[in-house]
Amino acid sequence: MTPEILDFTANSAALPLMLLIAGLLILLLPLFVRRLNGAQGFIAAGALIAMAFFFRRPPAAEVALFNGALVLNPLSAYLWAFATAALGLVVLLSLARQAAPDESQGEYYFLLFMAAIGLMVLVAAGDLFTAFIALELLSLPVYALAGIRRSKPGLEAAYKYFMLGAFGSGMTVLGIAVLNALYPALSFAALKAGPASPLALAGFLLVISGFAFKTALVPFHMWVPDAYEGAPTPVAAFMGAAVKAGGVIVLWRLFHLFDGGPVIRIFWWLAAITVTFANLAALAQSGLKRLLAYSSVAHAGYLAVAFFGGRQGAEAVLYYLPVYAMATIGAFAVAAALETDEKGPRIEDLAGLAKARPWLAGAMAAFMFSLAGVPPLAGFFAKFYAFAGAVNSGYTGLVVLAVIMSAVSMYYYLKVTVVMYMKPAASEQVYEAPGLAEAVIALMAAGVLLAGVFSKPLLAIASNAARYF
Amino acid sequence: MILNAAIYGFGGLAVLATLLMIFQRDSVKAALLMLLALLSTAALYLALSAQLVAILQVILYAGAIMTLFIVALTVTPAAWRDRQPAASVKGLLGLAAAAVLFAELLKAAAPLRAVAASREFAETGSLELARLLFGPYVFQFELLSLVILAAIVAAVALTSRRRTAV
Repeated sequence: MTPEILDFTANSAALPLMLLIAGLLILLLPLFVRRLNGAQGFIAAGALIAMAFFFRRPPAAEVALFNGALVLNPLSAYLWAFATAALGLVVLLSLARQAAPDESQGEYYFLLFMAAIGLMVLVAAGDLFTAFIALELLSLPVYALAGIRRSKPGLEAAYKYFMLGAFGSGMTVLGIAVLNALYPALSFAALKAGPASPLALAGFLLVISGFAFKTALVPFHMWVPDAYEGAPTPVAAFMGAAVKAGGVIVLWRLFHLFDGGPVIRIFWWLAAITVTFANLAALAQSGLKRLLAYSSVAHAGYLAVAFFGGRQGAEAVLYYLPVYAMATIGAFAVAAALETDEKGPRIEDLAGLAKARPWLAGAMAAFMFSLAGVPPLAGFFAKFYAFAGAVNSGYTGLVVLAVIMSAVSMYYYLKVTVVMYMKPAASEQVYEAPGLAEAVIALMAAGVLLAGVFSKPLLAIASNAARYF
Repeated sequence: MILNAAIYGFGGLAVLATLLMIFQRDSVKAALLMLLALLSTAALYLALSAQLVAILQVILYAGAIMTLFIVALTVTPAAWRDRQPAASVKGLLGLAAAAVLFAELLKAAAPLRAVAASREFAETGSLELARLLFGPYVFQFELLSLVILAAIVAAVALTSRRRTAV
């Protein structure tokens, strides 16, 4: 054992990651104990609950492990808690609505845990090289999870996601190779101090486009609608909430390496094109999961707008991520509860939901309003902080565009609500939402409401974490 | 002199083979051209006195991965009977975009001549690589093993035949 490994195991800050790896190993139990077959979901949930007990107070100072490959501080602790919570919610959803065929249950939860480990390493990575490997560890399992049902739409989703994701990874590797020639260290600190040259610019642009694929910024978003539609709904929720967060964090670190110049201008254009195109494209969607897919692209654009806000923007991003994730996971949970085929419900299928299931319709309306940014829901404050930071830094033009497009988004979010409340049901429908799915929906609905009305505590934690950025 | 000739010769051969591969309509011929490109890249590494990387290139890429390609082509006859349609406007647009990107990359890579390779890249022997992999990069190295494990499980989950009885 090298001393680094001893350091790692002795450090309580690294505990969540080690516990997650232990959970991964426990998931292998059914391989040896036949009787446990089919119980993998419960094992996964149990491992996560056990993990929750071990979440200690975040480290007070910064700890760098493995020559700075892994940087643990309150920021990483915040994002680790976020990643674990997202994983837990997706596991609960998968228990309620079986996402994988019976014989692939073991692989399903194993891959889900693997992706979560990738996300945790990604958000704590101290250098670009580690970030890239962690990104692969996050992406590879999700490609397979998208197609785990092995049905036609599922495999199409996996194929498209994989092809474009692999293309993005290729660009990232090429960019890292170019940057490595200039900066042998590749740590984010070394990259910031480095000289500006056309070659470095080319390298950074390649790396940024690679991560923009994962975050789904326009024009790197082509895979999103098909992948979200074809993937099992809990997996789509994981893609929307967790995978995107990983990409956003790395893009954010890359953005802050620059004080101006061409890279910032390119980010400006990426944000502007993303909010415009995604919101306009979402108007034409009739499938609920496709609508949520375009909505997730639009929110990546709002997050990119928040990048421009400096320190205030950093707080806004950290507040935005969980708020957006709650509304997205909740909306996908409702979609999962209503789905009758693989592609999920169409928007018209929600007609009459308010009468048949007033409680479910109310929660769905809360998610839609939070995503649209209606006060007093959390989504409003998230957008407010994100845009206020950018205005204070002098990017008023970009914010005006984002606000206009946010108003456009009201149309399609309201459309869902109108269909639920104003349209009679076309036919008698059986809504079966198992208890666990309802629990997730209730939790998320309470979350978007409470994080909005009482935004102070979450914002205080986010602001503390943002200091370490 | 001879080394320079070898570097430019094999580099040019790799580029030529790759270009021919892209515009080759027959997939088996394309695979063989890719093999040529991979082997000339290996020779390029050898000329740069990176013996270990050259050997790995031959074993992994030219050996294992190309074999996989050829086997995949033989077991899916539909793939080599399926001919791509002739060039369309879309294809031309794509080609134009690729040309622009290529020109930009060339422009950006021009100052690369001036960059002195850092000392750390001087040693590429197996011992030095091993020292790096198990020293400063041990975390990344172990992380990669998780990536490979995830890829194996993913491949099994996507391709294994459905079990009817356990």
